Amino acid sequence: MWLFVLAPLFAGVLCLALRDLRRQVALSVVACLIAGGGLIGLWSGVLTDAGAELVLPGARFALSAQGIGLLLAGFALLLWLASLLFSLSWFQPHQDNSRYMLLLGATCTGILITFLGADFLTLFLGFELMSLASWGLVIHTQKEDAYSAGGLYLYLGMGGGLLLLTSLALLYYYTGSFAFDARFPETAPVAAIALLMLAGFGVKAGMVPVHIWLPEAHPAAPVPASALLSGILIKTGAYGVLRTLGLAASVPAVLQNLGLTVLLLGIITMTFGVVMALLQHEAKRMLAFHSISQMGYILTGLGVAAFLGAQGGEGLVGGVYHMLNHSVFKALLFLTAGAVYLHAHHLHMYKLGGMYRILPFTFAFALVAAMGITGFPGLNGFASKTIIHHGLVTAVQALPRLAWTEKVFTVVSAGTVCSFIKFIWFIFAGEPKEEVTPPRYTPATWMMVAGMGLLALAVIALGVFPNFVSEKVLVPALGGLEALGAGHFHAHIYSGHSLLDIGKAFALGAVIFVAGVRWHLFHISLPQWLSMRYWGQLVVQGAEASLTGTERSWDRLMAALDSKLERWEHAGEELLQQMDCRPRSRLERAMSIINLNFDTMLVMAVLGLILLLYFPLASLFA
Amino acid sequence: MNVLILIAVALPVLGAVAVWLPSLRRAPLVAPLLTAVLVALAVAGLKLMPGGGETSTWWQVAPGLSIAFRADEAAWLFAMLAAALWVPATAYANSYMAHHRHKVRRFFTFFTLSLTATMGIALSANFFTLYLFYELLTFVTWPLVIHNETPDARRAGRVYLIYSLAGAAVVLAAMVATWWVAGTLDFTPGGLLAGASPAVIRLTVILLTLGFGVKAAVMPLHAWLPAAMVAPTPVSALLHAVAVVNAGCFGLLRTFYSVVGSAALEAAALSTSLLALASITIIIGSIFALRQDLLKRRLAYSTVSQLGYITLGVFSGSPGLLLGSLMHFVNHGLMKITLFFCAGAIITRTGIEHISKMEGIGRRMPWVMGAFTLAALGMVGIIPINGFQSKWFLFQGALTAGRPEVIVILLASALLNAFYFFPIIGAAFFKGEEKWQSEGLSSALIWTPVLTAALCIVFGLIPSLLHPLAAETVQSLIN
Repeated sequence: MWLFVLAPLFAGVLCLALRDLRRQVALSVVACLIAGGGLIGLWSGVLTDAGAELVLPGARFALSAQGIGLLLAGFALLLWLASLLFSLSWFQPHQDNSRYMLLLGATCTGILITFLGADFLTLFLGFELMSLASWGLVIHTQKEDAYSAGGLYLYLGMGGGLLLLTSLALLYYYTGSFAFDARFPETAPVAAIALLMLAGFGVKAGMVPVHIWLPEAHPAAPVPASALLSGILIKTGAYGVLRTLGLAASVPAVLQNLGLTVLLLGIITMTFGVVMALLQHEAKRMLAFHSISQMGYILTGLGVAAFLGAQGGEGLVGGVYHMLNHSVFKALLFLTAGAVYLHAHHLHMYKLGGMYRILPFTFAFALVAAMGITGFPGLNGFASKTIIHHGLVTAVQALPRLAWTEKVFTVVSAGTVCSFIKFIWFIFAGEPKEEVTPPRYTPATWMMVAGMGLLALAVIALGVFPNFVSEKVLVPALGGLEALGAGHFHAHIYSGHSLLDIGKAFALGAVIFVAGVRWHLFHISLPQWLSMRYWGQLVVQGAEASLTGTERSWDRLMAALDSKLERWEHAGEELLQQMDCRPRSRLERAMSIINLNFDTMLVMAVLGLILLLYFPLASLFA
Repeated sequence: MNVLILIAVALPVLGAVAVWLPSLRRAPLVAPLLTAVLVALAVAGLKLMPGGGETSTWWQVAPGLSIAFRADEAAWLFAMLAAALWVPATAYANSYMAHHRHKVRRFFTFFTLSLTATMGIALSANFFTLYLFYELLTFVTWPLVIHNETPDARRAGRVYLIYSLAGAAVVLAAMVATWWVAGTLDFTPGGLLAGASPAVIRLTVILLTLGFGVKAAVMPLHAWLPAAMVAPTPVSALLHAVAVVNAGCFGLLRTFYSVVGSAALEAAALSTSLLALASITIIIGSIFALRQDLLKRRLAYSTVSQLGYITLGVFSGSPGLLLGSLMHFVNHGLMKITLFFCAGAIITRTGIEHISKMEGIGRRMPWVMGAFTLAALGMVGIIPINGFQSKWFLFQGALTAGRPEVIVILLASALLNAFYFFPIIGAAFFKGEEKWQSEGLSSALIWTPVLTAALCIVFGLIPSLLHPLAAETVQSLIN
């Protein structure tokens, strides 16, 4: 099984030897199919799982091809495939793209290990590999803003990884295992472990307040990579949160408070993401903020599940369902934005228009994805959002003080609707506002269309049979998480109530859109002090200033010491010079013939002297 | 007298003489490498053959005062690390000196003599022998530091001598104190000072910390280390990342647990302040490293900081942390020698010494920078490279010892490590427009770092290579 999981990485390494983009993509596609085929074979039982455990003396890294991890791994491969096909059009065929292909393969392997890891240690291994490799993807374009975004991403990711490492150390110290369902003894600080994990995974999941890297990093990467980053990479964070909740489930008191924390963070995250998204004019940045917002939905669902414990089936299934859904429609949205960029060379939404004529396929796919993300009935987003909403309503019944969260949920859904009306309206509808090169339909373009088509199919497939997906696929896959409500779920997605709810959201979204356009509300720029980044920069500047100050005073101290020492040193220097200026003795000349100069001799002499001196010294002791 | 110990300690002297003899033309190329290989084999043999753990006395200088050697667990760990790394380092030095032709004979004479000093320190069976070889190490490495004979080099050499000799004098004082209290200098598992008064123990511990702390680069005694980076890179790699600084750490380890003894150490109740000292070294060293543009100087400060991990465990007196620090003792040696090898290869091939000029260097030298990247990731502590192992066991040790604050220090340091290593990696692979080239693996300048980087991964993936040895050593030091 390790072979299948490592296939993308191997393909990436082999790509270093190939110079041609088409061959590199072909090789990677083969690797993708091998990995996918292998996972399907293992799942169906055709293949026996011989190499799931990598047992090294003293260490053991285990994979397991089952459950929710396998499902997510499958989606990772699907997205990788789509991203590879899209790469054919995105990059110049003659450019050297081996670095990109290597990093993409490594990222993919990292993601697969994260999802398929059978315990926290293996998961962590994949998580770190993924963090590092995706940093390379973010800065691949070698532009100034990519470097600054990459730095933010890398250091936050590293910090998150370190918190995770700390939590693992604590976990191992108290339980002696890395298992997902490790049993804690009485004394273990379960809440601290869970919070450390939540922070570590939260960084990757784009959870407020550690989301700040996401809107910078995702747009900076090449579009096919952004699709992978925004589509599936951030899901590793959500998956980690799920595992954290599963771990904490053995201590109900902790679980409930943790669930409430995650729920509230989720609500804050979704609200923040959508408000920021509405204020963007650059399409990729807008999509990145929507990633934050949609991760808020997922976290809300998972929070509900943990808060309600065994009754939280709706939150759990809804959250996980939304993970799958968001991965496909967000990747598709990024790819459509990329297709637009290929022809318009920018993504400033208010300057684009009329793209539906030039890019009919892309328009259709964008429409499908937008309907998916906004929760249009019949597509996948509707199903998962409805289930999460049901869960939230149950949570509100359990704790009436949370009533406001349900209202916020509706408003955020409306904001999402408005935002994607903007996206479709400004980019695709109306007349072109500027000269755009129409596409030439080369094989590469068709590959691109095929890549997007794959994802659009997935969006539709996941949405058409929501009862089947949630009850027959997700619930069995969530086996083992009964404490979070996996055994307590019944789908009733299409009801008058839920249609009415989403109808409200669409109506409200349309109103916001009209109002926003009418009164230019989308152009408000928020004051700087509202952004986390601003405060972060202040802290960094303060630290640098104090560091420089310290350094300066240290230098002054050293200079003072130096001048004191100088006189002493001069004396020594003179002594050495006198020795050097001595006329060359016969012995010295003889020595220089055998290539031993004065330095050496001096050292030898001192050495001998020291050795000799020891014996009188030693006899003193005796 | 154990033949293997004789080979390990005395053979390098023969090797050095062979290098120095002008009639042996090819000796500078062959003799150091041959010596290193034989010494490494001899040290390995000490573990495999029976009788390695017995004391072999060479010379009874005075009653109770002798030059004697013994290969117990701790001794073997250091001796094996140094001897094993000496082999690639010598191969590397051969290639390096072929490019920088300057007094090759003198260079290899002292290079080989340093092996004697290191082995002597590692295998010493009493404080007197340890002290003797500790002094010797200073004197045989000094010509290597000033090898380039530039004013800078001479200055660095002076700083090195002043610091080291002052440190050794303090060690001498500690030795006198030990003799006075215990009446013997032989290393004993439980220590010699168990019954002494706390004041005397405290004085001895402070003297030892100051004395060996110089070579272990405990702040504020570290200044010689960055200055000594003017030395040729093989010297920096071996002596200042593996042999000399590790000799300092080993001196601390040896004297703390075989002279003072863990029980007496506890009675002295100094561990909190010593831990604070190590923590300060870790953090401040990393912060200084951040500000360096010269690659070798950045690595030097990184060494200062990482040695703090090792001294941390030694100072703590708790078995868990000591285990972690022993793991780091070996792992850091592997990683740091890789980093220095890479720095030297870059200097030799391109003449670039400053990090700010390293844009695109990764495409010109993919193997070297690949090795550099792996070792740097290890320094940050990324799984599955060996640096992760050390950090993991230090974490576990901190929890066992009930010192969670150590974890915070280690986390901060890991983040700082990331801050100063990742920009190098980023610039090497993600800046500039150079075409990919292959620098060819035939030169030792290239294959040695690749080899040691591969070892970093092997040690990282297979904890059982090192962990049992370290655990045994801890067991032998703390009963």
